[in-house]
Amino acid sequence: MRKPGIDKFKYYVGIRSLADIATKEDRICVLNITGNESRSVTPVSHAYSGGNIVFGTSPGRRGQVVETPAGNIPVYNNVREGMEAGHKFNVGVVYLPPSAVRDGVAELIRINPDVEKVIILTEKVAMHDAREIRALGQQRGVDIFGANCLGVADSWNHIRIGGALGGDKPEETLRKGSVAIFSNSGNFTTTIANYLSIGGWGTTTLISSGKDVYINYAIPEFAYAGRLLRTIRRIR
Amino acid sequence: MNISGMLHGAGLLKIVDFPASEVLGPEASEHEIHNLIEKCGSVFVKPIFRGGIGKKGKSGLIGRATSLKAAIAEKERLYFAEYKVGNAMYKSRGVTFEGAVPAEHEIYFSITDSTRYRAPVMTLTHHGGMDIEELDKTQIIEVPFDPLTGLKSFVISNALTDLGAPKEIISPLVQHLPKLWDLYHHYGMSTLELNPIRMMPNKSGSLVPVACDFKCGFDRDDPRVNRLTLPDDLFVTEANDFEQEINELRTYQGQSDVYVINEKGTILAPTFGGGANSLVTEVLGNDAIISSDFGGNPPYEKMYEVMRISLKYYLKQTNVLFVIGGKANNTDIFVTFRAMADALRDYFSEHGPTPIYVVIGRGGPQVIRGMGVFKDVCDSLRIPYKIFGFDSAMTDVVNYAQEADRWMKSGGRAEVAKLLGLPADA
Repeated sequence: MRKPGIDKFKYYVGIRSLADIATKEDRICVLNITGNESRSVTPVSHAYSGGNIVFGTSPGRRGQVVETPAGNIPVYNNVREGMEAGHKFNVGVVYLPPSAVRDGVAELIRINPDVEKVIILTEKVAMHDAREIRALGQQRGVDIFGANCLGVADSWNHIRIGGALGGDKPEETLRKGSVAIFSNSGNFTTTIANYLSIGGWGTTTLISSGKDVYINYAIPEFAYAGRLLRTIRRIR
Repeated sequence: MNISGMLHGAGLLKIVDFPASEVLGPEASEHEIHNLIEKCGSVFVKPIFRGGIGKKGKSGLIGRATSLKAAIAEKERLYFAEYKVGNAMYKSRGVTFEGAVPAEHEIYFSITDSTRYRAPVMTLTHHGGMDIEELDKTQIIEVPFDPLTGLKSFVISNALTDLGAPKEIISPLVQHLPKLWDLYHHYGMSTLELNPIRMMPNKSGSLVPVACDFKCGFDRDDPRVNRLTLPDDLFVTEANDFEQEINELRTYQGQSDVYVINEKGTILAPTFGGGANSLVTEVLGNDAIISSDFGGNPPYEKMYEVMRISLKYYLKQTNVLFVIGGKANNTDIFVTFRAMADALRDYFSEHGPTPIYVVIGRGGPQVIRGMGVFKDVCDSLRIPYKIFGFDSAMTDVVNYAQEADRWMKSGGRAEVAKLLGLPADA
């Protein structure tokens, strides 16, 4: 059963405001947390965000941990085991190899009905799988970012989810300010934030959408969420 | 990775039991061609271009023959025909002979993934056999559908009803067109177009759709394409040797998308990141030799190979070796720069020095160590260089690279050659 989305869109979009993109309340499960890229990026994201990753999965590695400056992240064989251990999450981050991404997304949203957002970092996901992932998200009412994206961040909340926006020292680039950035390119998301920072400006929300044929969270959704955010601030 | 024409298209359609016109390849004997003419009344003679080359009919590259003599004459005319699309020249490698299919109705049908709907989309009209761009919008229908259920009969039926299609074609199309979704979705396709599908009466008088032309594109990231066991050289298109060689390095670790912009360009710019690539390609224009994105944290071995191949093909003509990217998120600058600098040093060692100016703009993890490595190699090779950090705007760095190129063209190259102990025209 699909959750209700925003009426304005003919398809499912759940995120109503840029403030909802990466929040302090988000709790995260990382698939293939011990993979090459995740091993270097996840600990930085976890520490920058105050420890928002509740567990990760890696088949056959149950009992291991990923060490981070903000404490160890437990690793389980699969999502079900992590949830049976009492962990709750609403955001899935996918670092799986391309051929496993579709199944990973299905695992996240079928095993955990509370998933609201899925962020897919993997490049070169087959279009066949991308179209099914889109449909799975639409069917279940889940906002998807990527594939082939670099995640999302909120400079005000000090939250980075998914990929390596801001590089290995996100606090240097993701500085509080008034500019929201949306880019197909993860590199440009960080580079523009960096230019703004050098010029004395800062950012609110940063979104690297990915650049595959299926851009799940795209400009219309970003524009909608941005307009609503400004309205809320004016009311306050 | 495209296929056009019925030579391979008919075989692919057979997998899903979709009727196709009879086709003979370039090796067909005169006896076989004669029999096909006898059976079908006439044959179309079409050149075989590798890749998806369209609009051949408008260019006079499709012959029709009602006799063996005429068919052989068309074969001679078209066997090595040349066809220019944009700046690319394609050369035919043989012809096919396709049996004519008599019909009153011609259908256009395609499936592709739409960025607008973010779903697979079927495009359909019963005014097929021509460019659909020439049709009025009311004569064509575009229907997005759910990939989890696929292209079902009711989607076709609804579309044909909305189009006001003649009733005699509705039932056969509703029966046969859904098969094409199986071909599209389960064999790694990213586009599939049949135009025309001709509605041929069978013995009982009811109509059967027969595909008379075929185009498809494959997703090169989808291993399902291998299920088709297509000939290895089918996708060896007119792409140049450099692109072919780089593409062999394509793995899921790191980007390796590269295209040649201008074979005679003078700035060789390995670029990191899609955004940087767009900006650099746009600003450099025809001065750039290649358009590339080598980001995504490639390992040393891959980066070395990418650089080695790039230098092998293009360093000799290069004025400016321009290594450019934004502030990397995760790409290890030390690893990638060490690989590139090693490849440059090894090129000089193997092929001898060549006068170039190196311009670098980059930021990200381990950038200082990375720049140090590149600087050391440039110093040891005695070539001029300028290195910019991530606090320099990328547009300014691109402008500097262009300025360096202009300087090299107006006497700078001869000066650098002199420094390297080379003749002025090196």
